[in-house]
Amino acid sequence: MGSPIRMTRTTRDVLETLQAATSRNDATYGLEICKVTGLGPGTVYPILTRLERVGWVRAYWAEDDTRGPRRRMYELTGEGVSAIQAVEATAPSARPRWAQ
Amino acid sequence: MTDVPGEYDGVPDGDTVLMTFGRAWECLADDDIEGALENATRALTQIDDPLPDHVIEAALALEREIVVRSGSDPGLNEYRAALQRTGGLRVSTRRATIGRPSLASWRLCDWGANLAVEPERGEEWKEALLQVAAENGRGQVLRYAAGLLYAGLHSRVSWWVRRAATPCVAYLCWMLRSQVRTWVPLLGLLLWGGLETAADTGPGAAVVFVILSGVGFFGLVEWLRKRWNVQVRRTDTRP
Repeated sequence: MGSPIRMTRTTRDVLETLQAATSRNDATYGLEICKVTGLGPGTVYPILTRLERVGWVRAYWAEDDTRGPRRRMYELTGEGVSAIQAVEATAPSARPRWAQ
Repeated sequence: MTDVPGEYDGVPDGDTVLMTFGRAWECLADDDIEGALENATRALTQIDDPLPDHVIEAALALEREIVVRSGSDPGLNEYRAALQRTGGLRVSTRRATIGRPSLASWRLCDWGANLAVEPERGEEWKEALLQVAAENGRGQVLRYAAGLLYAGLHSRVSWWVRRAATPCVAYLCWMLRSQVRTWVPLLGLLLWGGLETAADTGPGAAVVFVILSGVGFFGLVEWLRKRWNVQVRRTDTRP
């Protein structure tokens, strides 16, 4: 069966930001993803919801002693990392075959 | 540190102050916070006229950036005092709106969070909105809040669609698992369409209709089977 996530350009941008955070052994949050990708929250949060639903991303509340609302952090799961690698390995090139 | 150019030794006006802020931003780009503050404060202390609105905006933007970068700096109080003296009441009014989302954006965020299916969105989005308000102007905060409302709406609508589609997809998968269940209704439909076309237009058009529709149905069935990973039962595929 194919990937449960359609690899649109925006999904790829969000995944790249999450991958960059994972490579720093860090997690990221929605607003930071918006800033890095230049996408609006109306695009980023639905993608995060989908990624969380298929198990590619794990979300948790940041430990914070300050008062006020807490920050929700996102990080790639092991399943997510291997799924992205599999998708990247099988993804056809963006250029048509005759142009390669 | 970058020095204030000699032309500011005279009596600067609002535009000259803006140019000095350009210098100050250059200092900030070099991480020279002290230089940025010194340049900007010197220009402000040399002006006696009340600052126009656009200069106040620029001065407050510079102040915000310095606070974000360094938290506090010994020169910041002096700069703030100079700004207060030349900007007066308008500085206080502008400053009061910085870092606090407007009621409209707060409401948009609230509506979005209430629409969203995920219960944790309310707290998460309020935290994000507060941070956006601390770093940006009112317009940007409102745009961000509108995006949150859209995200909430998207969450609710896609949840409804998923709920409605799940039994339909399950039924279609059950049909597609068997060649008999798939093709008997489709062939019936083709036969009925062919007979109607023959009666209306003629046998030639009916043959063309049946062939084209048959090819179309075959393509659709194969595409759906591949998309939903439906395996046809082996007993059905035997000749």
